[in-house]
Amino acid sequence: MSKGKILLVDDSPIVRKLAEVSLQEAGYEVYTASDGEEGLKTAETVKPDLILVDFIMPKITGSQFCKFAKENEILKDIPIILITGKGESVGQAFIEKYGVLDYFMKPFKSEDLIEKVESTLSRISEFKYETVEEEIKKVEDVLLSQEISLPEEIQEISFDLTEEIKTESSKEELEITEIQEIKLSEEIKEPQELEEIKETQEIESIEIPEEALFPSMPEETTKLEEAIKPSDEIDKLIEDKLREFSEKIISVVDASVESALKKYGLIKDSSFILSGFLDFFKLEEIFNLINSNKLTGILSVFVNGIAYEFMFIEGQIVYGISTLQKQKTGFKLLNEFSSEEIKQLTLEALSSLRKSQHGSFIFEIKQFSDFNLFNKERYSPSELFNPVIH
Amino acid sequence: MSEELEKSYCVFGIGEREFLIPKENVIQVLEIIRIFPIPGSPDYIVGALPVKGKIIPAIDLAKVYNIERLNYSESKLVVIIDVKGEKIGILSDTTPFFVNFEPDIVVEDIIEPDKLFEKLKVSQKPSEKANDK
Repeated sequence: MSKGKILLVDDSPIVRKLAEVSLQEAGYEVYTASDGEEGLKTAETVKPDLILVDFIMPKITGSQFCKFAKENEILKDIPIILITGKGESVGQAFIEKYGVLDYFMKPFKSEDLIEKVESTLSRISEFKYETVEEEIKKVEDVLLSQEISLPEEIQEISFDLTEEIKTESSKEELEITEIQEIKLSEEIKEPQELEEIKETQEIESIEIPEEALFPSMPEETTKLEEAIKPSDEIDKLIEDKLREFSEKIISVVDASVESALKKYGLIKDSSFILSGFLDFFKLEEIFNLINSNKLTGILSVFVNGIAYEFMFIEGQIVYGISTLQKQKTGFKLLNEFSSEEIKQLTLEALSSLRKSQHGSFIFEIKQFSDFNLFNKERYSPSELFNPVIH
Repeated sequence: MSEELEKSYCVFGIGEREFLIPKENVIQVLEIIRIFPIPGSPDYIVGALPVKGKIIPAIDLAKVYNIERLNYSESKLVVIIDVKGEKIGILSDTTPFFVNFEPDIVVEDIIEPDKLFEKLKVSQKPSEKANDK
């Protein structure tokens, strides 16, 4: 189990390596980037729990990195620690200007770094815990204010009743102290009777004390006012909670798939390239992985000296073709085929590919600019796999 | 908008340390093709470097600031800076790059060319003068 995901952004390879190794030993999942640009990209895909960032870096400096991160919806809540070799004043300036949580001096000892990371992360979790408690309080307040609007009066009535009952019953008690056993049953009966009688009187009497009570309970009056639209607030809170929860769950699931692949060295860079052998992965699994992650790019599969090429747009297949087919069709452009022909080619490529078990694949994320591609018919993997079976 | 307020520096590495030098002092970054050792010169002067038909001294700041190199890789790049019309080459272990940031961030390890020049001048005066001729 990893203790958390940490992204390290530093241009110095030695610092990167040192921090990566020591943090990994300490049980963290470590991602690295060599400059700010790469760091931002990685941060968006990985969603780390903590970012360690250097100040002096090529392309995007640490200060710009922090600025971008704070402007970014996904990254704005991720805590950042500055690693700098440029003095305390830089760290202080960063805390003030860029909302950096803390800073750390370079050169550092690995133990110190781990300590810093651990203390920061625990501080964050405490902080998060507090906010959760606050939220619960908020909900409770809303709920309370709702309840208070009516029961408060009722409670007061009952209090007054019991008080009066007690005084009267205590008189009786004094009179009949010797017969206590019978008294108990009487005590219960009598208040009930009294309640019935007194209720009419109490409701009248309550009207006066209520006015008198107002100055002493200004909080409750404000709460009552708030209670006018409590259902909306609750709805919002619940919605927010659910969204947060689902986001967390989704990232956890994603991370587990990625980390599993990463562990076996199948993903060189989790955000860009996916590669491995067909011995370990079924073709369908790869297709489904691409489909579920809505990736856009080219999947190349090499089997027995034949290369297959599949183009994905947002996880859906646009076309698939092998080198053999390419030779047959004479290297026509994609636009020269009709959608029927493309589907036929894709199915042929898939069926011949499915016969072979040994091979390697590589998936590269690419962004296509040709908008013609987006107008092409796309097929989901399951759509294509099923006809192949029949 | 804020770009104008920011100051530009050239960053180069010596060992594991990074130094910054104001961009306006940097003339160019060169790859060292040939360097001529100067006999009898202080140890921080690596040698003489031909740049655009002129010979300029190449300085290793590691010797000046007593920095240890963990992995000694022969530096191939040199930052040519201009100090009061004189040129000095500074060896860099990393590929130099430029950064911009707000001037109110006080950064250590900024090399002020004038001060560096004075510092070097004091100790190297006799030998450098001799080599210039």
